[in-house]
Amino acid sequence: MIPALEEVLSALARLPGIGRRSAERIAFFLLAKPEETERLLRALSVLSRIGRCPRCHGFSEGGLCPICRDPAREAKTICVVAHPWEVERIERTGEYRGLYHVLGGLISPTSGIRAEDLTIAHLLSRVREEGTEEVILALEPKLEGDLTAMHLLRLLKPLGVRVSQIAQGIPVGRDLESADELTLGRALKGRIPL
Amino acid sequence: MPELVRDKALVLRTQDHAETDRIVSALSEGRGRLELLVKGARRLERPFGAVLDILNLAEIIYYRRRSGLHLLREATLLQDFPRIREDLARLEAALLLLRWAWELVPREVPDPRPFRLTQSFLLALGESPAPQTLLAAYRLRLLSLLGYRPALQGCVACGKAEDLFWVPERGGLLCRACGGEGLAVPPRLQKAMDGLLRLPLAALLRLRLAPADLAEIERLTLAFREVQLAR
Repeated sequence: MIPALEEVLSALARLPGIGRRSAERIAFFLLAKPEETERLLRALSVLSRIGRCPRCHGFSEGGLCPICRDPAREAKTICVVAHPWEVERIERTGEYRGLYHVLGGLISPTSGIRAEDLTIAHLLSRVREEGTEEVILALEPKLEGDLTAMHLLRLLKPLGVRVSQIAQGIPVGRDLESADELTLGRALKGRIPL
Repeated sequence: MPELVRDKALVLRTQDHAETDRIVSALSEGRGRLELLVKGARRLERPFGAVLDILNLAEIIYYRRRSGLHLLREATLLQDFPRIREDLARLEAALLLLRWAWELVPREVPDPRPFRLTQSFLLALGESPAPQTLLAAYRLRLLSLLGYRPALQGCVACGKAEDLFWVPERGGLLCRACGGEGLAVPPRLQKAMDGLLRLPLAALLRLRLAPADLAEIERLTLAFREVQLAR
């Protein structure tokens, strides 16, 4: 294989979900369609313009992100997530109209990530300064998520803000039989009255 | 054909691998620290569900490979330490304890003692009103069990029990007359560390140490670990 093509293939194969065969398919497609290559190059060049919103730490194209700029959002509610891509996942539900705060990870003593490494101090100042009434914790239902949630609860409670957590348990469309006992136990603990 | 092994293991940490897999580091009873590949662990239809979350104790069945990662075939939850999970201080202490186990226990060594020590301390942590005290004791005991027991009875050179300093290079306490200098260890701290190393778990649960003393013991233990393990 010619070195230039080998370079393209090895770069593509580093992407998540792309193996050698997929990399070859993409590379040959792009070679056959120069206009698609141009389109892709233009799109990729925009990546460097994407930074972080100074208010919520979500993705932004300079300055505040579209959600923080939107006056129609419910500004008294903040949904806390660990990673910026989780904002988009929640937005796609269409169930939430408040603001966000991205922590930048989860507290993890086993991996050496401390509370000070996250944007927790900024979250607390936002809650104080923006008159937040509810903080929704949408953190991964695993040990680091639980630890981070407990840590945040301890810091947020004295501020007089309502703290809630997204429900945890059986995914919609799954049967109970395939659920492990821990997941089922959480679902039972978090049951809601009908 | 790889050998199929059944064991008990505590999940120490997990790491995403490839698209949908996960590597689980676990402290097993039979073979020390293990690195297990869990195929499809990040899929919605994931095998084993939340059983392989950190801090869980599980019965595992895995294909033992001669090189590389072992392949997990089954995992059944045995214990998830709920009393630890509901308390922030206990949970933080438990995770630091697991981190020490992950960093210090050697891989694939058939010695059940690190597993048993860790399991017993996790069970005690669930009852402990002073998790940091148990964590300090665990650190000293794990070091001891792995062959790095600090000498806490008196000067390592002459046996004298006064005017002692912490000299990790010499294996523990050294008196001034024998060349000890640097980190002074008052009798109160010496006694506390000796207790952490030797008291039964039930007595450890009743032991109360001042936060300043615990911080100092942590400093001494970390210095000891750094020097001893660098050798």
